[in-house]
Amino acid sequence: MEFKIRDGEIDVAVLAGPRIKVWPTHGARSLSRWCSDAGLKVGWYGGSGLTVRGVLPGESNGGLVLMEDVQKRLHRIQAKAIVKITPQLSLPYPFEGWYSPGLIPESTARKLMAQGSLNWHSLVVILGSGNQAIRLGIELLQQGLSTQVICVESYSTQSQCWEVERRRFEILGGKILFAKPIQLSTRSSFTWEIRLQEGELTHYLEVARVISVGPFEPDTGFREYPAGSFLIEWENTETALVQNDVSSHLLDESRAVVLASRLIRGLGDFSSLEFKQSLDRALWASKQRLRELERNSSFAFEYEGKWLSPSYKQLIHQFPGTPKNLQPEKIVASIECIEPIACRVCEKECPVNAIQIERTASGNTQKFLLEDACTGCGKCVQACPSAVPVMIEGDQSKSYSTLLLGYREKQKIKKGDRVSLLNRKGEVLVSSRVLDQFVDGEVPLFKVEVPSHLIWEVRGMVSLAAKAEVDHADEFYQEKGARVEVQIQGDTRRVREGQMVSVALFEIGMSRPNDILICEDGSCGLCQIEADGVKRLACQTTIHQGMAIRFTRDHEPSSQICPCNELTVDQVQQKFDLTRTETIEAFLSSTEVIRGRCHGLLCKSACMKLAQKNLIKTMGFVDWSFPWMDWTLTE
Amino acid sequence: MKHKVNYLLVGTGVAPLLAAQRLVNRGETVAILNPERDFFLENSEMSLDLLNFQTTNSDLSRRFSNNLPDQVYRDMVHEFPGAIEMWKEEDELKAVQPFRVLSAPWVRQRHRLWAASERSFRAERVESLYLRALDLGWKPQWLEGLSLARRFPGVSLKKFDQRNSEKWVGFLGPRFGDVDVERYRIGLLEFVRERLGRRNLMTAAHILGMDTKGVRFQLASGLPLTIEVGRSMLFFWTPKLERFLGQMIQKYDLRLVPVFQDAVVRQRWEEWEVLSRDPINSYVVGHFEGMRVWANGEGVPPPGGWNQLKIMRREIVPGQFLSATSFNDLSGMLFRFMGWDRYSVRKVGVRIGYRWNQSQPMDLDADGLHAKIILACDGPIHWIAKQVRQAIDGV
Repeated sequence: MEFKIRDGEIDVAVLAGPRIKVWPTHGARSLSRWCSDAGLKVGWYGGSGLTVRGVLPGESNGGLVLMEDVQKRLHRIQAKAIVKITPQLSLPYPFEGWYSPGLIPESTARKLMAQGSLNWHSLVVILGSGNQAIRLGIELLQQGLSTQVICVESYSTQSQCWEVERRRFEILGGKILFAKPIQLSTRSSFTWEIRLQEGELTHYLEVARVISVGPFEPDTGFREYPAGSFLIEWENTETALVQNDVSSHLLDESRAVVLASRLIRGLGDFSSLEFKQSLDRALWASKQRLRELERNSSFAFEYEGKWLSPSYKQLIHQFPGTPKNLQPEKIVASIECIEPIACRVCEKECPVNAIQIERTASGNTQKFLLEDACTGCGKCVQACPSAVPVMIEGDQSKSYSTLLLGYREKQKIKKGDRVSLLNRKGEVLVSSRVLDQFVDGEVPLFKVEVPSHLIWEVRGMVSLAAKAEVDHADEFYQEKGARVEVQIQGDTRRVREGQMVSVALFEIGMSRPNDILICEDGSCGLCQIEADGVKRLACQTTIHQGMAIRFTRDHEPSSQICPCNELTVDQVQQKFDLTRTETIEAFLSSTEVIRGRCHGLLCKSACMKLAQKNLIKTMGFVDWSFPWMDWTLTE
Repeated sequence: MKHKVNYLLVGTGVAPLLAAQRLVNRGETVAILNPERDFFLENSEMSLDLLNFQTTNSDLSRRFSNNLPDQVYRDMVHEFPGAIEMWKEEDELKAVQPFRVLSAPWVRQRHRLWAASERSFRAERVESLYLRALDLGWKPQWLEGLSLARRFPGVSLKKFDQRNSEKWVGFLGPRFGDVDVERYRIGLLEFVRERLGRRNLMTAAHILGMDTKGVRFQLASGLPLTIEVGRSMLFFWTPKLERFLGQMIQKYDLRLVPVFQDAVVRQRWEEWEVLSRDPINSYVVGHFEGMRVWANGEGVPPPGGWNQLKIMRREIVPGQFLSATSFNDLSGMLFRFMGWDRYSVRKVGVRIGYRWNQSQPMDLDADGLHAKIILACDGPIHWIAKQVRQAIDGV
């Protein structure tokens, strides 16, 4: 085989790291637009046609990017600045049995949800209490994939999510627990037991799965390492569609401007004063927005029993997003977005500009809802990704007022149904009936009767009849694909045709720790099997009738910090005690962690934490080892 | 803060640690400054001699002798505070436990095997080297075909016969020693740290000025310090220190600029780690068309043997790093000679070494402060030990 390399030169190379699914990302597009406007030559490398193999850092700044196209031709690009975009993968700090099929990362859970492979009519534990974790819990509950979800916050004493998301989660029946995972052990092929330590209390929970979402460490956005090298790693926060995750979308956009400004100042020229001014303006606005987005206000309501405490009731009444003069026959929006959340989707969607958000630099909301202008159209209810707004038709002179609540769950509610009305933490306050139903958009609105004195307490509802229906029916789980017979380790099994081997193993309860579908694109190389006598990756091999599958590696659950090199926390600590290295590079090199098959995917964040415990500075560290994943070249 | 020492050593790798050991043994007071953040970041220190004969054609005999295991052991053991283990293939075959102290560094004994295609111009070079080794009495063993392949690390014997229409020739050279760099560094640093104390062993030190009163510098924490130097200041020239040394010479002693520039030729090596399907012969280091190949692993090989192959490839044309030639050379060896049908690259890195045009220390006059630059502090670690010992004995 004769290798030919195509050489090129560029100013800014924006690279798709392993496991990036949608390319280019929103952040990459924003960054490129700004840089190219400044006259820099920018290239996106990645996606389906081009696989970036890695970066070799240069001696001063930038470096050499090596990639391979679909025809296996090699490309070598010399770039002055390199931005590598990587997805977040949050795995917890190792505990007993953490590396087992019982614990799956969020990306895996989402993939299985999309394929219809999840059907857990029992408890699911999510590790993490950030917005992403809470939203996953909401989806599981809304879609009826799980009847009970508990989010476990183990690294902080307060939840990491917005109050509005937490409210949505708790209204649906979700719970947040502040405890540390101690042990995960298997009970049967489909059930696991997780032991959680909450102070002196130990919880033993029988769970269908544990999903690791995080965050387990602060989100740093982009990092330049070594400082001044123009070698930047950017953790992509954008998860899916804008509607689902506005905050991540905005975060990426704002970070793109800040990063572009850094690159342009270092590499570009400011011949156009107009451009410089527009960049400065955008930079200022982005920094403001980042301050809002990155701030974790940890706001939470306080209750006296089921009722809001008087001070918080007063806070709601004073908040500019809630109506002050409720009038009979007038429907008006009430938006209790008390935290300084920077999404502003409702503001953009309001057809009559009745929502105009103004906040001070410290995050205090000065202006929000123009009550007189609100027509009660309900567009804000439709638009809000966190389902915050409710429509109120208040009549203090009567004992009953009405609320219009958006209802996104799959449980069917119709006009005339009896419902239980819930407070903000999902506790039943009173029962009522549905007066009317409006379907104008994706989210149907239900008009319910509410005792007037509870108009500021009720923020959710649930149909008892529908709840029972979900418990018994499998209507939300529809099996796709016909079943075929395959041989797994010599036993005959019936699995769905056309799905990946790793998914099939998961569905029949035979998955190994290495089959937890971490990478989805074969980049981690962990899930090797022997299919019909040929070594393949389970996540890249499709099931067909009569297939013979054998496991090629041991697949015992592990408590090790580095399952690839079989290193425990104690062993790594012992090595450190001998070397007492002072830098993170030396720590990693001398302890031999992150040098295994997974290239640090499983162990990097835990190793960073271990290094921090040993007072090694890890701030901003980026591992530029080449290649990013095992790279197989064939004859 | 200010204190006085007889010798101030500035370096990034094991050289200043070795020098400190030797000087302290002589009863001198010593301090070490490392401009880098750690002693483990210097990657020019090699576990074995890559035997780049282009530069040292004349002193083949000396070079071979220096690499003999006993000599390597003798070079290493002088300054090392603990045990160094010797390990050879026979020990394992006789089921002798090769390591008595697990944290001790080892000197492993491995044969060198040169191989080339008979059709290649390199076959002549290998033959010439064989004849010279024969003349020198090194008892080289000429090998061809399967007998050669059986010895070469990483060759897939299952497919060697079927796939190889070419004739391969080569010879098995003497056993040379290679050293466990990590354990050697760790042991040495641990001991030197204890002897000198934290006060006299500083990393991330930024030198602000030097004169007869001493050396002023600042630590990463921002703490300014001054060390008064009683006798001499020694710089240990490694690739990581090159920029720093260049700045010092520009600032203090311009007459040294041309000497400094001519002293070395930079040599880059591509360092590849590839995965083999079959266990690799751990007791031979192969030389194949400008590449050095050996089984990569620490300590005792696992029962099935190691399956990571380390390949060092010299950059021939400057700037052609990771070029088409690199891939062609590597694939040529793995597919054509070793009989692989695919290979997985685990890691690729760069190692910078020097080809020294001189080896005598250079004197630097830093505003009245006497300083010496010790050369050749990179390369095989046993060479560094020897070089440092000679340099310290001369001061």
